[in-house]
Amino acid sequence: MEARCAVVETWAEFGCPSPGTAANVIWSGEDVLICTGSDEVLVFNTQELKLTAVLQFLSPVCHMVLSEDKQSVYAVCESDGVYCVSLPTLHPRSPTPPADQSPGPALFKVSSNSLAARDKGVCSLIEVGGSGGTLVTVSLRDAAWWFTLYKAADHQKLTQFSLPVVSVGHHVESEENGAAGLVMRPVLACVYSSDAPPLSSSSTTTKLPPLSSSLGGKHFFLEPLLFKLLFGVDAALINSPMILCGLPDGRLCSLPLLLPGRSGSCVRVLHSMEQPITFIGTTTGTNDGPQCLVAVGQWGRVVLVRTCEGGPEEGSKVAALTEGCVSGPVVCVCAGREGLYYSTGSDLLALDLPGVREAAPKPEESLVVGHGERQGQGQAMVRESATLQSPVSLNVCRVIALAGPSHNASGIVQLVALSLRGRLQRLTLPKGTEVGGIPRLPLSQVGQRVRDLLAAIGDVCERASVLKSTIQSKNHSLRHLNQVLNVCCLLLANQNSGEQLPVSKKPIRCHVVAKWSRLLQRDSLNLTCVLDNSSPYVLERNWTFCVRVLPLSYPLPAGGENTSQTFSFPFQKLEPGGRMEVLLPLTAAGDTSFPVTVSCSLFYSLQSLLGSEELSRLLANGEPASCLGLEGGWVSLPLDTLTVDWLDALQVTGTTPPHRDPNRPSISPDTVSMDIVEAFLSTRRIRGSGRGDGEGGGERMVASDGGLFSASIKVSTELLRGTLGLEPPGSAGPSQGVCGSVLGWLLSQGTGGEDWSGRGDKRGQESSVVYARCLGRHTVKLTAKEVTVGDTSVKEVKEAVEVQVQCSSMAAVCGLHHAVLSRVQALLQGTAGTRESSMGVQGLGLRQALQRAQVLSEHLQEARIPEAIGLGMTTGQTTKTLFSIYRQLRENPLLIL
Amino acid sequence: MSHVTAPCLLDRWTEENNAVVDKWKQHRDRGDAVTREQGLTLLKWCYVESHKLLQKIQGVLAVPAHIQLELTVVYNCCLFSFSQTQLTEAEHLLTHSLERALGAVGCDRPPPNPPVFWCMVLKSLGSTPSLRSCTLQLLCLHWALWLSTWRLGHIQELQEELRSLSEGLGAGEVTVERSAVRPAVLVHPRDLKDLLLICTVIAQGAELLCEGRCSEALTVLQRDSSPLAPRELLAQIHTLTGLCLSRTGRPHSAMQCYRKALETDVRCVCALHQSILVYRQLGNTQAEIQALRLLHSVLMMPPATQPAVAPPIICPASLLPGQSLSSLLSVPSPLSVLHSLAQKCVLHGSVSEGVEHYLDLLAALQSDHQLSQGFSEPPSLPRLPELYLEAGSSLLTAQRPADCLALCDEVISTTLELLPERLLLEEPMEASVPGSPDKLGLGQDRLGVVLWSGAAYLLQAHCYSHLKDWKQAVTHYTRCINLLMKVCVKQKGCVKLELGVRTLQRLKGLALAGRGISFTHRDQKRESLRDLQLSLQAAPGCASAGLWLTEVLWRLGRRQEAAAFWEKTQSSSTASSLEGVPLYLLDPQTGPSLDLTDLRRRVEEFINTRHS
Repeated sequence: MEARCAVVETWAEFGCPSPGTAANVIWSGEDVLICTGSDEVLVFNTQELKLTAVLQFLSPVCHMVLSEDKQSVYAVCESDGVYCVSLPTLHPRSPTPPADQSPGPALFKVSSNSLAARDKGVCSLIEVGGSGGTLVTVSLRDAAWWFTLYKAADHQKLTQFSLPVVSVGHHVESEENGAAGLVMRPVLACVYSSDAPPLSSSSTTTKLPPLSSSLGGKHFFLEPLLFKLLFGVDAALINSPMILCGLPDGRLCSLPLLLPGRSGSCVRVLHSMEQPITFIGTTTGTNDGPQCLVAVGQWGRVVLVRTCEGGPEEGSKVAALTEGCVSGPVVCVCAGREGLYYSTGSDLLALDLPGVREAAPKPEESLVVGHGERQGQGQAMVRESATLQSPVSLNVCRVIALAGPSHNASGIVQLVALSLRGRLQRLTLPKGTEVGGIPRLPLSQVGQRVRDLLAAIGDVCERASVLKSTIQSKNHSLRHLNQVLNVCCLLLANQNSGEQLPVSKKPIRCHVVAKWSRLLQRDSLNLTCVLDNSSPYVLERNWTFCVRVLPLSYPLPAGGENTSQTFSFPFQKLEPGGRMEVLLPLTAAGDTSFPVTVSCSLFYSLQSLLGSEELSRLLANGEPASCLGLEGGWVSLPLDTLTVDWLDALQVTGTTPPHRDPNRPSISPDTVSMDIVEAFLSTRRIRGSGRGDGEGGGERMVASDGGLFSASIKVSTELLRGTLGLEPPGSAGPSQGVCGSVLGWLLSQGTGGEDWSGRGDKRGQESSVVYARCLGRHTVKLTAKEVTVGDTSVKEVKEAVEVQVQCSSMAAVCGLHHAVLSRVQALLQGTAGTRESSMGVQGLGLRQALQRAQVLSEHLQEARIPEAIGLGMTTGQTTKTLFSIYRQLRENPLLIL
Repeated sequence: MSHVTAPCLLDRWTEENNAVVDKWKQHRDRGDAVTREQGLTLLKWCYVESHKLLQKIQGVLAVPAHIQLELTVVYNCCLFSFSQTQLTEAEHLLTHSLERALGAVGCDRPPPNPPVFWCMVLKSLGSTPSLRSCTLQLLCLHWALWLSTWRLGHIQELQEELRSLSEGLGAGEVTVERSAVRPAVLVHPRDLKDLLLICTVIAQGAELLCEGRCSEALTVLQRDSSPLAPRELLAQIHTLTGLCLSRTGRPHSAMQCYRKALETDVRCVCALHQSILVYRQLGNTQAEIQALRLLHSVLMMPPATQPAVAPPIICPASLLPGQSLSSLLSVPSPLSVLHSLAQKCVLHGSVSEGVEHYLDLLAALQSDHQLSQGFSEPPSLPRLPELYLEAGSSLLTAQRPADCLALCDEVISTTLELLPERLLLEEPMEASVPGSPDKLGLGQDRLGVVLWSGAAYLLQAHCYSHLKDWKQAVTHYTRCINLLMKVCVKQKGCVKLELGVRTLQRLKGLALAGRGISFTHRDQKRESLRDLQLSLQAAPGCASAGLWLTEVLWRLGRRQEAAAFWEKTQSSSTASSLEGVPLYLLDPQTGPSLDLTDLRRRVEEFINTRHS
């Protein structure tokens, strides 16, 4: 037997404890309470090293217990029952001055008012949960052990359970004990599951890992698994404290404190030690190592209960019970971190317990009670005794009561002991090495944990991919929006800065070309609209190219509604520098009233970008959406507004009057003959007008009786030369050149901006006469010739080009006239104010024009009078009159400079 | 000498006796002027004093002149002993004194057999008019002793004598003795007799009832009882009558008796409890719930404050100690009443109230206040994990899935470490040997742990499917299934399955069905089909699984099979026994719902077109 020496320091000496009673020492903070079996309980202060108080009871005290909150002490008196004394009242420091050192300890007489439970038979007791908790007493009465529960606050009896006495040999043994100076009484302890909060709210009990001493020696925590295995799921679920009772007959019983009356036998016998139990406790490692419940019998049997792997077919944990033996008798025990300290009366020994420092024993070695076979316990015990290490002697003799231990910061363990002679001693133990266990995850949970983790990973992964795709789509949307915004800015800046930017410099521009096509023997006019993307941005999907065709003027009956037509073409992808050409049917010949306005715009739909839900939310917000002009989720960007007029719709046939073409059966013979007649007439008319009267310049539109109408416009040659970039007259070329280029300009310029030559006969290029077919299949003759305008007498002569339109259709003439005028207007706008006008010529013209306007206004008044006064003038007459007025209005004598 | 001293002694003893009796009576009349503690001390003092007196009296030889006094003192003394529950001492005193008296009048020592003994006593002493009264007093006392030690046989045998007591006691009063000072009695024998009579009726009725002789018990109980008897005893008679009636198949008459009992004594909770049982038998759920509510509130009332004075010398409780009576009149603990109330509420509509009761129950279990009611009756509460699960499922039914999840978590975390890797069950399970010391470890809880944990997972999965989190639902259903697969049942040709195994199968069926339904919502139709089919194999009673299987077959385009299956489910009566199935294993009420009418219409249309 290895021996180490403990340092013994005697603090005080009291009288010899009376034999036959168990001496009791309680160490609580600074105070040590000593009960030696007399009617006095002594309070010794470890700081001042002197007795501070003596509690005098009415009869001998045979047992005492500290309450869980350490605020009161319960003493069992032989003849009365249980007394409860509050400890703080024992320290009336303030009334006694500190100078008053010399007098002895204060004497407190405990009266019967402090009686907590009047029960003479109480052998042992324990208090759970402090003053709000429960007091449990055990008494032997009528051949049964009675467990009685009292309310700790008012000592009201709550309930009672009984367990019949089984051991007949008890009395014999107790006599033996009596001879040895010991009285056996039940040992009580209170066990909490260590994941459960203790019932009391006292701060001392919250310390974890709990040391058995820290809970007053009687209250301790057990690891949850062992707790569940020993006391069942039900007790664990409601965190019921369990009362463990070691009876003198060797039975280890448990009693749930909170569990409602599950079956009559609340008191369960866990195990039978077959010898009086002197100690119940736990050993706890410094770390959360395996923890075991320890019970020590009087004759040296030690039972360890701990968790252990179950049998191979179960795979779960079971509570395993290991029995060992040390040499007895065991007089008193206290539990340390690493094991037990016990006194045999002749020596104090320290016993290291397996399971704290070592791994749990193999299941086949231990007695696995979960299996229920209790085969040969003696055998098991013998076999198990090897698992207990041999105790280490500490060389302190005659210890009959132990308290503590306390571990101070430097790891020194101290105990308080009472010797047989009544000496109060402090024992300082030699330092031992402490090895902590490694916390491990139980195997049974590993699979579950892995599955949990995998599931969690799966979840995270899923979420991440969802987020990723959301981010991607948002990015996509943002990129698109960026593009859209860029395009918007580009176009809106364009718009805001006015129309100054020439068409060719617009980043996104479009132009329109009207083309005749022939399909199924019907001529139709198609509009080819070309969008040029010279911006650095790609026009992608969701963009729509919209073309709106709106007649400038339209017949009244249909005027109520908008007769416009809108065509939209979604983009696939238009790279920078690309162009998109769309073809839209304008009309079958003659259906549409020209000129028409073609507005081109770009649309962008937010819906396809954001989705309908988000869009509706955006729109519902109102303000930002309306700020953006997003009604309906569309961004609309106007591009260009172009005009397609009669000129554009002309089909140039050549410089000579068209002849009958046998390949064109669709043209009726009527039309053909008309053309011939027209051609003939027109030549005459031209000649006629060429001879003209003195009116000279200006514009005229003459209708012959044969139905050939004409209109003319005069533009100064100088102007044309300047704007069209023609060479001056003197340099070269005939005058034909000016006329030809004017015609060419008229037929090519404008909407299309395309080469005129593509549209007609090559020969027409140089000639000053062009024949063409217009809408309604009328042949039109366009003539350009140089004239001089002005009064020769005043020497103010201007050279001008007269453009004449001749056609049998009044509408065509009007339309063409309008078209030519608007072209010239556009021309003038470009050159406005660059030249000084010769006022003389214009002045003359103006005068004439005014006169004519006056006359015409009179005519108009006259024509309208009959209608106004309701006279029955035939509509034919009115129309005629109005028509003639209109014709005269057209004859503008002014020369355009 | 003796001639002189005898009357003197007689008077002194009489005075002493009267002093003790007066002191006690004064205390009793003073009421609350003294504490209970003081009363008990006084009683003890009286007991000691009267015994001292008796010792003095019996210290001298018995002479006929002393007999009356002695017997009266014995009467008082025995009553005091009775109050100190010293029954054997009292009986010994009684017989000893009577033997002395018999010796004094010159009779032989009577045999110990009580009926014969009393026949003899009455014959020899009762014939003397002066002694008759005090002899009968002692007979009363002996009656009380028999009753409190549950020796009903003696009472039965001496029925005639006991019945004639009333005349004898009345007669004794009239024939007043010569002595001026009459020895006082502690309790008037006539009062004692009345009390004993009714207690005897109750005791006999209870005994007969316990033996199953209901009609005889009824005749005993319906004997006329004095209306002056204590209310609680009358109420007990009514209750016992009701019990007889309900056991002989007359529940409505029984109800009337219970009502009478309650009218007589409001605190007769037993009648209330019995009427609950009758309501349950009659299937009147609403009334049962109301009665349960009432019973619970009565049980939760603070106990009637005990009177400050000491209890009466003879209280009915000490006269009726019988086990049979207390078992008949037992009332479940407030917690189990609360539990049945909660369960009934959840099962019959008022879920939210039921949930509240469950939560109250759980709170009460966690607190230690329940200890204050020391009820020691057989357990009627289920195991705590089952209680948690029931509460959880009722929370889910009340649309509180988060709370349900938390409760189930608690069950899972508690049982997690105890789950076995594998569990082999052999059918029939071997019964554990009774009386053997309790096993450490779980014992037969091993299956229980698996079932609780599995059911907790199942409930959690139900919660998730209620929240439409199908992925989590599938995970938890899978956990439940994996857990249940660890249990292997080995059948040994036993047809009747034990409850545990039945629960296991039902759990399996529900979990598979639940997972199948979740798979349907995740659009994994094949897995869903497989699970639903497995579910129906595991537990054929799962109604929703059949419907969903039809639906899944239909969605998979296997309409022929769907229709066939539909017809099969419709034809077979699916009313399988859900009796005894725990609350948490009923079909979930809140899960994903199937448009049944739509399914029916579709399938039936299909069937019709196929037929035509």
